[in-house]
Amino acid sequence: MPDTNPGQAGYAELFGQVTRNATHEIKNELAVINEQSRLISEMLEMGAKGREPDPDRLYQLIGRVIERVGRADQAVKRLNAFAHSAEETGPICDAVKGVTLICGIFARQAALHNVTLELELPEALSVGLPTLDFERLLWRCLATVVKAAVGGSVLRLVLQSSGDAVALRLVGEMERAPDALPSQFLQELGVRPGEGGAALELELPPARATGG
Amino acid sequence: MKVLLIDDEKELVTTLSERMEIRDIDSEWATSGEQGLKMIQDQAYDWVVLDLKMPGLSGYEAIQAIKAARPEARIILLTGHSAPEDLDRALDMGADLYLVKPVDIDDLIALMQGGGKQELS
Repeated sequence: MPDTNPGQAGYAELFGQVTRNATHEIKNELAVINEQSRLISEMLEMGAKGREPDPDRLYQLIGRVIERVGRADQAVKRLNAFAHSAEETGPICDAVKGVTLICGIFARQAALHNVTLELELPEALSVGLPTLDFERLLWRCLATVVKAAVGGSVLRLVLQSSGDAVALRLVGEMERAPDALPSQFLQELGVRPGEGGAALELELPPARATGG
Repeated sequence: MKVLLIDDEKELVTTLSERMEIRDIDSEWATSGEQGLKMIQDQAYDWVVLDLKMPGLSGYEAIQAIKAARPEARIILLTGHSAPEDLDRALDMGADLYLVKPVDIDDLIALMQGGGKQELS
């Protein structure tokens, strides 16, 4: 097992970051569900002792528990979908699916920086990168740009075909210029910096260029 | 005993506060470090229960600001899965204890009533 291989280390780093974020989100939902369900139980116990619980508050709490269980389920589904990324070993990937998944997992991290993510995606678009490499690139882009973004702002991720490439742009209000991504990392992936004036702009290889 | 609960998850702090009220504990809540700090500057709390990771003023910054404004206030950190080094740093900065979510409210209250002498984390 070439565990000193930079690519392998990069995948391990991605798995660590994704798992940490997703489990934080799940843990948070469970903490809320725990408090709300225990409050429901305590209100019913008080009712059994003759102090009638407020039925509107009970219905509201039960509704919130159902909502939070749904949110936790979505977080688990995203984590599971990410785990299955490792099985997609081909030279191209579904870019729309990749962006939707990674941004969904990254949203909590963005929220900690008080930044909201918005996606502007075509209906379907593939890129000439293996799925895990595309996801690794996306994560690094998001992490770099969110750190430089103005708190309370919206960061828009735009993905579109652009001539012979696929353009990935992150557009938003910045406090400072985002750190540049390491050129060696971009070269390894066959990705070129773009020049459109966005906070971060990259030209990704199209699916057909790598035999897809 | 007066308690201030600070967590960006509003449903968590409001429910925790409601459960404290059932137990006759006087509690108030805030959903950001900034809002919590304003409340602390306006009035004294015996205990501040604080989430470590929040948007805006971070848990670390909040600990320093709380201790500067009210050195006598005791601080309990609530955390999801923070790394041991993060928690050590928070304790070094003035937090008294940390608890991992989900927290048992009766343990939390017993801890506060006992002056924070139990180690639950």
